[in-house]
Amino acid sequence: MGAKVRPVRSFREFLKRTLPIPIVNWLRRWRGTMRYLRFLSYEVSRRQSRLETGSPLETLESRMAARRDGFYQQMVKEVVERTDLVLQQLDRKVEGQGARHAERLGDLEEEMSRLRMAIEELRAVLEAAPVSPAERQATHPARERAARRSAERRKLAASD
Amino acid sequence: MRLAWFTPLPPMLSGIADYSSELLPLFAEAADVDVICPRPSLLRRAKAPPGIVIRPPERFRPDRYDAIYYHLGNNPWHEFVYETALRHPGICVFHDVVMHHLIAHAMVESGDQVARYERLLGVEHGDSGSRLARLKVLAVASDFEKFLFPLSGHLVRRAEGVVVHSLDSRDRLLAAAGNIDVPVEVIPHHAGAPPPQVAGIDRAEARRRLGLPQDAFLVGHLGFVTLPKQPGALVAGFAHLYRETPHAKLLVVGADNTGGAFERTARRHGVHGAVVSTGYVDLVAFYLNLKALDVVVNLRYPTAGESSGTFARALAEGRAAIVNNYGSFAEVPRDVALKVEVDGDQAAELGEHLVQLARDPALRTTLEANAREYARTVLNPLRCRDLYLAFAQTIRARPAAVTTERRSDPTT
Repeated sequence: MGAKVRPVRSFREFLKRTLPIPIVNWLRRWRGTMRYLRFLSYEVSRRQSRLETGSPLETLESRMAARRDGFYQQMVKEVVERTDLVLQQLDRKVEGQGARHAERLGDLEEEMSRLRMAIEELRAVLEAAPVSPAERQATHPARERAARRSAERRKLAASD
Repeated sequence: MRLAWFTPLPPMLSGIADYSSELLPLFAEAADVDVICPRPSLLRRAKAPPGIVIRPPERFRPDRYDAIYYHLGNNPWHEFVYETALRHPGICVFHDVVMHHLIAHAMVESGDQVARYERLLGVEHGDSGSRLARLKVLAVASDFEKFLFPLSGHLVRRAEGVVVHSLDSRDRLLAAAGNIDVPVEVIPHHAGAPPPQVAGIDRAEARRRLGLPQDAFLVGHLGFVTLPKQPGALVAGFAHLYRETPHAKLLVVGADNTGGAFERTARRHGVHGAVVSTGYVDLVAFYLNLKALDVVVNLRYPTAGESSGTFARALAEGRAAIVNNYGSFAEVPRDVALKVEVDGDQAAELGEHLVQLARDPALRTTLEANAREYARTVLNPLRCRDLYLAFAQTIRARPAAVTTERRSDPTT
């Protein structure tokens, strides 16, 4: 034991003997806290300097965490990313439906133009063919059906 | 007819530079064309196509021309096109419907015109737009919002006429501009011709030259690998095929811009041994690889309203293709290319198509013939040139009063 330590220890023993127990305990707690805080400060200081100098062992996350606004930025990034994911899923549904509907609409338009052409062709054939007066007077079944439906509709409208 | 053609040119890294380089020699045969393009950098010059004169933007005189074509793309190489299109209205060719990436880059991300950006978003999208602009300045922003707020309406309102490559782009653009009365012409993205160095090379010869197995079923991905090209679905779909057809290979022709995510996904699916990556290649090597392929996969989500040049080349080369049923791809008939829905299980659908094509050579042959025919009739470069010339004539014949009333736009 060194010459410097001996008087400190003797003084400490003297205090333990003379002071009341609660005060001795308070002094012990106080010394423990001071020691703990001193070593913690060394730890924090070492970590901070390691983060700021950017040692090769550092990860991007720890550098972010060392910055004062790191957590805020990370949070914003994650919220924006999440919103993006939700929006993209929604947009995919809208776009997918849109594309399929446009395709069906296109097919229907094509079908309609084919039908129109077929009707035009039929009309041209009918107009070109000579029609006898007897044929002209005879009613077509489809025309008969249409007349019947129209009469029924008129009757329903009158009853309302 | 005297035309001014605003476009980037090689070596500028824009697909539109290649597009113009291919089309301009055809224009030189039928019209008097000046290309307006700045120098790519202090030490480099833009490469002039044969028969074309290049003028710098600062020496542009609008009164010298019968029509002005502005080729607008959504990247920083088009900033000079954008600014001149606002100053001297002409015919805007929208290679992308979305202009937000270009505008945000020029005004906020690398520029100092925050107030102009805020005003622009406010005018185009009302209160939501203004709020979005303010949040962007506070760095609360994502890339996806740029697709939802396209910022192309003010250009349409100023334009004398508009050209797009697909009906889908036309509808999106008119919706963004508020359905105003502006003449819009749909001119498909032409299928570029292969360079003479690869003329007469067939599939077997291309594989021999590249050292690829003759009996392998080769699936190809053309162009840069980026996240919108759905690399996850591509790899997972290929893995589905690989389990059934172990001699299948995935040929990736283009640089990987996913930061290694593509390779990691391939490893996770256990197909990294079957993936052959060429990295960035020149046009000759591109065509050699394309000729070696059995199937081309071209998925894309989200879209900026663009049309794919590599897809057009693949069709012209007569390759069976699988695309998303989405955007401009949705307009390609189903007997020309197989489709994958964007809102379904893309990987599973892609895998099923690939397996079907690997099993059924007759289906492949039919698709190849249909693709060739579609490219020959619809994507013919001469047809596209004639459509451009005819539209310029139409706009020239239009009374000037029709367009002047739209030009008092506060966004400019």
